[in-house]
Amino acid sequence: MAAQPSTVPSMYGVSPDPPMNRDNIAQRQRNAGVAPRHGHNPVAQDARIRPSIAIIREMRWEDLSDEALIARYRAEADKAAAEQYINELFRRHHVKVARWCLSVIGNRESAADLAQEICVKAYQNLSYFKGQSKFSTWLYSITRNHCLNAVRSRNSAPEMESEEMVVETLPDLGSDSPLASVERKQQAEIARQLINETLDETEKAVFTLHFGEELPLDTITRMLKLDNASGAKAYLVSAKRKLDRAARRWKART
Amino acid sequence: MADNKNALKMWQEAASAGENCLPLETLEKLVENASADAKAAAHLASCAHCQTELSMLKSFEAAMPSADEGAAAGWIAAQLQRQQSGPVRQSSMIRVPFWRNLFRVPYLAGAAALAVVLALGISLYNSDSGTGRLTPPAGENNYRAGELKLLSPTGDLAEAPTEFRWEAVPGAASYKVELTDVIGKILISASSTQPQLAATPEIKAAMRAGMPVKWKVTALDASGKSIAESSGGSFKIK
Repeated sequence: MAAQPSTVPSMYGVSPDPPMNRDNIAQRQRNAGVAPRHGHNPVAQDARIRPSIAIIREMRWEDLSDEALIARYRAEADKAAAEQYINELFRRHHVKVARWCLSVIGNRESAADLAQEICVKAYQNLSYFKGQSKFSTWLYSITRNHCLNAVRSRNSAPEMESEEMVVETLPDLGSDSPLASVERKQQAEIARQLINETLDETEKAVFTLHFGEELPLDTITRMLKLDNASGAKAYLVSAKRKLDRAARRWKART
Repeated sequence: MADNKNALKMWQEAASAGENCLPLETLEKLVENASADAKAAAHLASCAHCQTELSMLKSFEAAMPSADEGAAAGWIAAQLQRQQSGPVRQSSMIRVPFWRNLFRVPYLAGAAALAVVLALGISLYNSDSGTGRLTPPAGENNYRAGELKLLSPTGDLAEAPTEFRWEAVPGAASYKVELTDVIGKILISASSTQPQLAATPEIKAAMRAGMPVKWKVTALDASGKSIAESSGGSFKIK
């Protein structure tokens, strides 16, 4: 339930105790990442003094940002209460992690194993989360690296068909050109430029994931949700043709 | 064929993360505000690798699974929920007593509040029903990895490092060393029983001049369980 504006009339009057304006407090906590004190309900007992009227409403989990959950988890002395914050944090992202693992691995059971490993890894390394990015971005970096490393280790043998196809035909920016002696690093810079200027968005992604991240084509097809008959392979062939032409033009200019 | 192999290596390097490629936190900021960092935005516009990274980050953030993966993703998420009884335990929303829900319905709120105050003389201010509280299993003990301090190499180096050194961790039977590129792709991993590792030719071959290298060490006990982990160190060979 979304937080109501703080101008909503109080539901009931109370109390000699300092009354509460929970909404302002929640907003300030979100902004500042401050972990308030709380009692039995860890999201329910913050207070701010207003004259004589109490506004009491239950704060819900969704009122707390991921970063606020982490701040409260870290500040909470009571272990059981702290656990509630962290459980809620991970619960929010289970589907994202599951989706990503599934799109990379393709097999439901293997993806579930990977997803579990990722959640444990993230939990164990949460102390390293410094808030330089959103939590979801930090979790993504763990998910991404864990999944892609898993795919690489499972596919240590090269994909002969695609590798041979492209190895035989990828243009060489060094040979037959005035820049034959140009170091590979400089050639790579030129190649980066050609990739960016020549290929369309999908071709760039396929080319990057296949050659830069060393992912097999069937994985790329799944990740990018390519529904054409030959999937990523078609884009790789198309990219190679375009790069071949672009390399010839580049050589002709130099 | 040799030329083709050289060409392949060159294109692989071109498709990999370069030294100017953007870290994820910068890409995240560009998603939120494309004009926040002009230099970063200019690099993004010129780099297929960063464009692909950004696309994948957006894909991760997309909340809903597509129709064809919805059931499987839901099943995996449910598995994760159940397995959270391990280190990350079952989560649930706070369950609110029905009588508190009365206070969320505007036309009932006033009457209900008045009734509660007058009839029961109770304020919910200090309500302590505890119905939303999750009771953790007895003996639960959170594991947090200890910090392991890296010593060298660090910063800009004139040549490839000959050795990696870190502070010893009591109880460590071995150390796992991982070198990655800036976005976490593992370049090479090795292990050592001592708090140092000589850079073998294979390790040196994994590093290129101008390419930032991150490295991380994990201390393992005799059973292979991680007992401490470094935060990421980094260096670059000029």
